[in-house]
Amino acid sequence: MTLKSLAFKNIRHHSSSYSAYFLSCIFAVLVFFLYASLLFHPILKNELFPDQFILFLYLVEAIVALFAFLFIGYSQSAFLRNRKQDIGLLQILGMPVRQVVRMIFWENILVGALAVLIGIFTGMIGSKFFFLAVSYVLRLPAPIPVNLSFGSIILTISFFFCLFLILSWISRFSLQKQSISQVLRERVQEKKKPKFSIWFVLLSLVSIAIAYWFSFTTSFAGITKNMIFILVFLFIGTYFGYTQLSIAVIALLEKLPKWFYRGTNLFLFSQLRFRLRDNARILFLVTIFTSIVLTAVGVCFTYYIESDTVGEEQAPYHISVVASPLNQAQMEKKIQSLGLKRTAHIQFQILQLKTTDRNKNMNNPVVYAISNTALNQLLQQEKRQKIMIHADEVIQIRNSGIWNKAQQKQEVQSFTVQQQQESFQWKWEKIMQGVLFNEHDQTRIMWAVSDATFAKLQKRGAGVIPVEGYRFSDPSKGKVLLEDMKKQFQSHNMNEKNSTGTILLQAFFRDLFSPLLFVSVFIGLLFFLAAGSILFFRLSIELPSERRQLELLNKLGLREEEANKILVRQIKLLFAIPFLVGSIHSFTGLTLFSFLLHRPVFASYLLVWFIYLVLGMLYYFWTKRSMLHAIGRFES
Amino acid sequence: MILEAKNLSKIYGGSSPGAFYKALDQFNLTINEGEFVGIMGPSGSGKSTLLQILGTIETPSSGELVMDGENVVAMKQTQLADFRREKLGFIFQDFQLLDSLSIKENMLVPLVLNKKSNQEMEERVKQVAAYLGIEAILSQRPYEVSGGQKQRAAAARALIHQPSLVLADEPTGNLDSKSAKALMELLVDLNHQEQTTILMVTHDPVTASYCDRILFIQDGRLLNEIYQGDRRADFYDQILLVQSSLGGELYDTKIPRF
Repeated sequence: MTLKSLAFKNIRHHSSSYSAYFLSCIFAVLVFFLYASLLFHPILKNELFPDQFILFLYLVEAIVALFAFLFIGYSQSAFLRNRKQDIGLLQILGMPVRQVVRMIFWENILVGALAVLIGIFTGMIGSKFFFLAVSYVLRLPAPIPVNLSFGSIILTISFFFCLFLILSWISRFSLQKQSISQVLRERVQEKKKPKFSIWFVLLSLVSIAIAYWFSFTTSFAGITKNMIFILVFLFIGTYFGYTQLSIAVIALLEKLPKWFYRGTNLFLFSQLRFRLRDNARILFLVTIFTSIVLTAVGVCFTYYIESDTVGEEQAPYHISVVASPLNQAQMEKKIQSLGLKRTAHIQFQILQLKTTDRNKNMNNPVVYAISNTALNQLLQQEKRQKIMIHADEVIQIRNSGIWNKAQQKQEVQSFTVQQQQESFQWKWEKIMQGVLFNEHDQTRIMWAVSDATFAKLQKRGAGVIPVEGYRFSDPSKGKVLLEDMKKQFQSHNMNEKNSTGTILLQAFFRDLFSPLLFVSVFIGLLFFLAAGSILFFRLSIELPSERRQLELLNKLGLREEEANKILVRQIKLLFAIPFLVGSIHSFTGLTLFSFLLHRPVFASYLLVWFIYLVLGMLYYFWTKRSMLHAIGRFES
Repeated sequence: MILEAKNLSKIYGGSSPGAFYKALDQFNLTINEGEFVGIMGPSGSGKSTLLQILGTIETPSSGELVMDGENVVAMKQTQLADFRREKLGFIFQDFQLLDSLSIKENMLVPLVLNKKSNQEMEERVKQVAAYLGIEAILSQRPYEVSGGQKQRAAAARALIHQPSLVLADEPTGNLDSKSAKALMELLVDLNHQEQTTILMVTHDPVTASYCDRILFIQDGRLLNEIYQGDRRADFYDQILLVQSSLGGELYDTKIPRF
C-alpha cells in the first residue's frame, strides 16, 4: 500500500459524496473543451465570423475557467472540512503536511483525470452537435465541420491539471494544526441558538423592496445607472434574508404551538433553524445562481423569439430614408419594379438649426425641428393622440425605444435656437417619448414647433432635410430595396446610415441574442449543476450528524419512516427555498430587461422556468435517493 | 529513561489578562523504558492536555520535554510529524480507524507513512495480528466488526511500527467490561514481553489497576503517585482510596451511550 493507493481508497470510500461533484466537473470540462475546440478551429480564420463573436468565445472560455476554479476550489475545501477527522488522524500518526497535500493532490488528480477524460470524450462526440448548433445560431451557409484539434485537448488537459495542482497547493493553508487536536479533544460544545436582530430583518426587507421597486420602475435608459444599485440591494436583502429573516420566521412559527408541535414539525424546524443559518452562504449562492440562470436564459430566449416583433416596434418603417439622393419619381419607379405594395407612406421635412442650449438637446449643438403637422402625421401612424402646439411652444420628441412610451410634463423652461444671426426662444414644457419613426441620427431627438413657426424658420433659410418612410405588405422583399438604397448613398458619398429599416433592426436583435442565448444556456446549465452539487455536498457533509439525530429520535420511539421524512423535508426545503426566491428575483429581473417589449412576455419565461423546475426536480430526486441510501447504509 | 518532562506548563487564552486558564502547572514526569504508567484525574484536571503535549500535538507554554533522547519542544512541525511517525503509537477512546480502509490497511498506515517495504509490511501484520488475535477480521471494514475488535485493531496500528512510546487515551472508554479486560490483559502482556512503554489516561479504576504506576493530577498539578504491589485487587482498592480522598464526586461518571 502506498500514498497513491491510500488516495484511491479514500475516493472509493467517499464515492457517494464525490458523485455530484464529479458530474459537475465533467460538465465543466465538457463546456471548456467545446469552446476550446471552437477557439482552435481553423474555420475561425474565415471572414464569416465577426470579431465580436471570437471575443465573445474568449470571454465564455474565461468565465468557464473562472467558474471551474471557484467551484472546484469550493468543493475541495468542503471535502477537507468533511474529512477533518480522517486527515487529523493521519497527521497525528505522523503524516507531515507535505504528504497530506500530496495525498490530496493524488485524489484530485485521480478524480480530475477521470472527469477530464470523460469530459473530453463526450466533448468529441458532442462537438458535432455543438458545431451544428453554432452554425445554426450564426446562420452560417454551411455547418462547421468537425475538427479534432490537438490544441484544444492539450489546453483542456493542461488547464485542469494546473487547476488541481494549484488547488492542492492552496489546501496546505486550510490544513491547519487545529484539525489535529480536534481528534483528541472532546466533542465541541453545543451550538448556541441562533438569534436575529430586528434591524437586520428590516434591512433585509427594505433592501429587497428597494431593489424590486427600482427594477419595476427603471427604464431602459436607466438600466446601466441603476443596475449596480439593484444588484447590491438585492444581494444585501437576500443575504440577510437567509441569515436573519429565516430565523425570525421560525421564531414566529414557534409562537404557533398548535402548529409547531404537530407531528415532526418541531424536529424539522429546530433543525432548520441551525441549517438555514449555517447554510446561509450556500443558500445565498444557490439563489444567486438560480436568479442569474433564469434571468439570463429567460431574457435571451424571450428576445430571441421576439426579435421580429421588437425590431418592428423599434423601427416601424420597413424602409426609411433621410435626405434621399433619389427624387420622388425615381423612388416610385424602384418600388414599382420590385413589385412592392405600399401599406403606408409618410413624408415630412426636418429643419436643421443651431442652439446654445446644448445641455437641453442631449449635448448636441444641432437642433432638428419638425412641424406640428408632421408630428401629428407620425402620431396618427402609431395610433396615438394628435396634439396641438401653440406658436410660442416647443415639444421635445425622444424617438427611441430606450424611453418609455409616454407624454411627460416638466417645469416650464425656455429653449433657444439660432438661425443665422437671429435667435428664437420658445416655452418648453412637454416631452413626447416612444418610437414614432425609425431612429436616425437626425430623428432621435426632434423638436416639434407650430406650423407657423416652422414656416417662419424655413423662410429664414434653415436647412431642410426631407425624410420619408414606407411600409410594405411583404416586408421581406423590402430587403432588396434597402440594400439598393444603401448602395445609392454610397455612390453619392453619403452616409449609408441615412437609410434604415425594420429588417436591419430585426437582424440586429437576432444577431445579438442568438449567441447570447446559446452561451447563456450553456453557462446556465453549468451554474445549475454547480448549484445542485453544492446542495448535494452540503447534505452529504451533514449526513453523519443528521444520522446521529435520527438514530436518537428512532430510539426515542419515532418510527424510521417518520425520521427519514424529517430528512426528506429538509432536503426539499433546501432545494425549494433558493428556487422560489431565485424565481421571484428573476421575475423582477425579467421585467427590468423586458423593457423593449412594452408588454409582459411571460410565456417564454415560463417555459424556461418550467424546464429549470423539471431539471431541479430531477436533481432533487437524485439527491434525496442518494441521501436516504447513504443514511440507510450506515444504520446498523 | 524514555521520557523526561520538566516544569511543563500550558496556559490557554493568555492574550487577555484574567481570562487565561492554566491547564498544566509546572508538571514533572519521568518514564522509564518498559514502564506502564497510568494517569488519573477528574474532568478538567489537565490529563488530556498532558497527553496532547506528550503526543506532540500541543506545544507546552513553557518547560522541557525530552523523549527518546530528543528535545521535542524545539522541533518544527515537519520534524514533529516525523517524530510521531517513528517514535509514537496512539490508541484513542473512539478507536479512530479509517472507514475507507480495511482492518489490515488501517494497521498498515504507520508502515506506509514510514515507507517500509511490502515484505516487511506483510510480516509485521502477520506477527501483530496473531499476537492480538485479529487474523480473522483482517479483510473486514471497521464498521463491520465489534468494538472490542476495533480497539484491538487500533492497538495493532499503534504497535506495528514498534514505537518507543504508546499513548493511550481512555482505551476502554467505549468497550464493555469483557472486551476491556481482554484488551488490558493484552496490553500488560505486551508491556511485559516486548518491553513496550505505555502511557495511559483513564478514569476507570479497573482499567487503571493494570498499570505499574499511577499518577493523580488535579488542576494541572501532580497530587499523588502510587505503585503496583503484588496483587492487582489491592492496587484497585488503593486507587479507590486515593480517588475518594480527592473527592469522588468530581470524577467523571460514565455517560451511558445509546
